[in-house]
Parts: sequence; C-alpha cells; structure tokens
Amino acid sequence: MCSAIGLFLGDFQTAIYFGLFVQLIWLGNLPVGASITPEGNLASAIGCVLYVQFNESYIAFGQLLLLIVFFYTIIVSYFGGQLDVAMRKFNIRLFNYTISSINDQKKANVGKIAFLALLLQYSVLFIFILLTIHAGNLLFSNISDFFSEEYTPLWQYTNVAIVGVGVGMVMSVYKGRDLKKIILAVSIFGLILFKII
Amino acid sequence: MRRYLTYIKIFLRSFFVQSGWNYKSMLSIGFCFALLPVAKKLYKNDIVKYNQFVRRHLGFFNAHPYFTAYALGAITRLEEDVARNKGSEVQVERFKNALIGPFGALGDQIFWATVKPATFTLGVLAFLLVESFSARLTFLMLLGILYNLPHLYVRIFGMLQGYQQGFSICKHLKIDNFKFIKKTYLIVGILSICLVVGYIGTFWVGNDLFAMLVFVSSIIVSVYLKSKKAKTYLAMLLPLLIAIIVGLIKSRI
Repeated sequence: MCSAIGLFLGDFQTAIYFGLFVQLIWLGNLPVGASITPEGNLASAIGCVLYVQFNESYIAFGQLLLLIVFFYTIIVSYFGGQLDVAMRKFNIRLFNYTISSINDQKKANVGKIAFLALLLQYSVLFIFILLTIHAGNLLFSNISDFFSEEYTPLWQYTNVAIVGVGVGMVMSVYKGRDLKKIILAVSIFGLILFKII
Repeated sequence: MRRYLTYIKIFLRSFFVQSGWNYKSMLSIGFCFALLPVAKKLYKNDIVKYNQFVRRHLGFFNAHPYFTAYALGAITRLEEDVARNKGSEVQVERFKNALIGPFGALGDQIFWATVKPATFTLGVLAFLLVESFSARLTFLMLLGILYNLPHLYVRIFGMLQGYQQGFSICKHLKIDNFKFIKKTYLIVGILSICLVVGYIGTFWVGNDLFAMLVFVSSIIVSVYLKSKKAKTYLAMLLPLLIAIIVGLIKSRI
C-alpha cells in the first residue's frame, strides 16, 4: 500500500523506505481467529502519507520525523484495532437481522447484508483515515516548534531501533529452539558476508 | 456451461468471505454469501428450501480466509447431493463444523506465519540491496507474484479439490500436503531476515558501539516481550525508549 502511496504522492523511494521498515513490526501479530490485533496496515499507510508529506520540512531535525510518525502510527494502529472490534460487534446486528427475517418467512437477503457490511466498514475506515491524516497534519506542522536542532543526537538511532523491532517481531514468528539457533548462525554468516563484500 | 458459471461466481465471491465478520457467527455471512449461487441454482423457485439453505450456512463458521475455498468446494458438492436426496443436511452441518479447526490451524501456519513474513522480509532485503527506482518497482511486482502464487493456488485448487473429493477433503488437510510451500518459504524467510540483520549490522551500525547496542537490544527486547505474550505495544515502544536513552548518553560523552 505504501508503494502505491509513494507513486501517488510522487516520492516512491521515501514512501517505500518508511512503509517497509514500519510494516515489518506488524508481522509478529498474527490475526488468528477472533484475536484483536493492531490495525497495522492502515496505520502504516496513514503514517506513510504523513512521512512523505513532512519529510522535507524536518530534514534539519535528523530522524525526529521518523520517531514521531512511528509513535503516531502505533497510536493510530491501536484505535484502528478498536474500530475493527466495534465494526465486528455492529455486524452482529446485521447477522441477527438476517436470521429474524428468515424466521419471519421472508426471503433471506444475505447478498445485500454482506454488501451493507462492506460499505459500512469502508465508509467508517475512510472517515477514520481522513480524520487521522488531518490530525497528523495539524500535529506535525506545529510540533517542530518545540524541538531544537541541538537535540538531534537524541533520536539518531531511531531507524536502527525500528529495524531491530521489526527483525525481532519477525523472529518471534519462527518458533522452535532449533530454528532460533539456525537464525542466529545465519545472521552471523550474513554479517560476515557483508563485511567481506 | 451454466453449471461452470455458478462455480466461477462462488470463486469470485470467495474473495469477500470476510465481509460481515462478527463475534457471534464469525465468517458465516461472507461464507453464506459465497454459497448463494448454489442456493439460487438448486432452490430458485422454492423460498422455504432456499431459506433453509441460507440458515444452514449462517451457522457459526470460522477458517483462514484463503482455505475457505476447500470448504466452499466441498459444501457445494454436498449441497448438490442433498438436493438430489443423496445426503442429509445434518451431515453437511457436521462436516462444516469439523472443518473449522484444521482450516484455521493450517492457514495461520502457512500464510500468516510463513508466506507473509518470508515475502515481506525478502522485500526489505531487496530494498536494501537495490537502489534504482525501476529495480525496486520490479522487485515489488515479483514479491506480489511470490505471495499470490500459493494464495491463488490454495483458492483455485482448494475449491476444485473440495468439489471433487467432498467429505474426503478432510484427508487432504494435513500440513504434510503443504510441506513444499512451508519449507520453501521458511528457507526464504529465514535467509532474508538473517541477511537483513547482516546488512544493517554492516552498513547502518558499522563500528558504532552505541548503534550496535541499540540494534541488538531492540531485537532481544522485542523477541523477549513477544515470547512472554506481553503487550505488543510495549515490545514496539521500549526499544525506541532505549534508543533515545543511548542517544542521550552518546551526546553527553
């Protein structure tokens, strides 16, 4: 999604840089069954729009933009997850309505119900995207006033930490002690390989 | 020809199987929506039987969305048998309930825990290794193919096999039958993530001990917190806090 945003906003490379590394952190959250997971994809896309939009105005502050957009993305992912829960609860009403219309001997209209559920979900998400991008715009166009360029060393390792979290999240997906040993061994091999190259 | 059109409609509708997802009956609205072409074919002029069909498939159902194709194929076959008085509705419902466990477990293991991380980490590796716009765009398309090959295989052949085998599809639902996909993507995923570690360790971290500390601690902290089933958000935010503290220490030295 971030690559499409990059193409649309005219900065593919920046969008894909943000998108790939930030989306890496959501891979450890498996949407198994009815589990509630953060809405990572949507949040990354919103974060990506803001990152591309403000990238040039924050150049003097080093990685400050990456840090605050990353925080913002995590907050948005939480609310996105809660929105999913609310939609799933609302869909119970649609389900109950379908069942009651069958019980009343009317012809079941599951097609319309499925379409309505999709339409509602996309409408709510669309409003959510607009609101969070607007809130982000307000926040990021004013927040730089509170920071000075002399603080830049504080967030110099933001990108390294984000990639580290992403790698950790992916590694947590691979279960088993043997697999962990293999990962460690191949990582050391990778390190040596790139040092030699 | 009309018969095949029905199956094509079911296949296309299977992409919307998650519409109407709810906590009471999970996938049932989407699943029933996908099966409607069969109901229309079998009970077009019989509202009572049509409603009975819909009611049957609005019962609790949950599975991995891609693996639902197997259930759709098998249920289509069984419903056709029921309409020809070759089976009973109770058997169909029992069979559907029996599929929930294997479908969820297989799909989550193969797609969410293997194919998706492998494709994505390969994308990160490609992003790090190639710099030109056209090369990155090409890689992006290749990744799309890499992810969608097993995805569409499961959807298309799943539906066909489900229809051909009916009740016997249960025998096919073993991880051994998907060993090739799982092993291949596991190797790709592990190699990619390890090479990403190698690349970051060499070119981003280099000889900076502070950066090394941030990188290694971020990996350890996130893996540890995730394994302890701690809040995901803590696993994401704590390494950032460590990075800021390390940055502060470095700026003071």
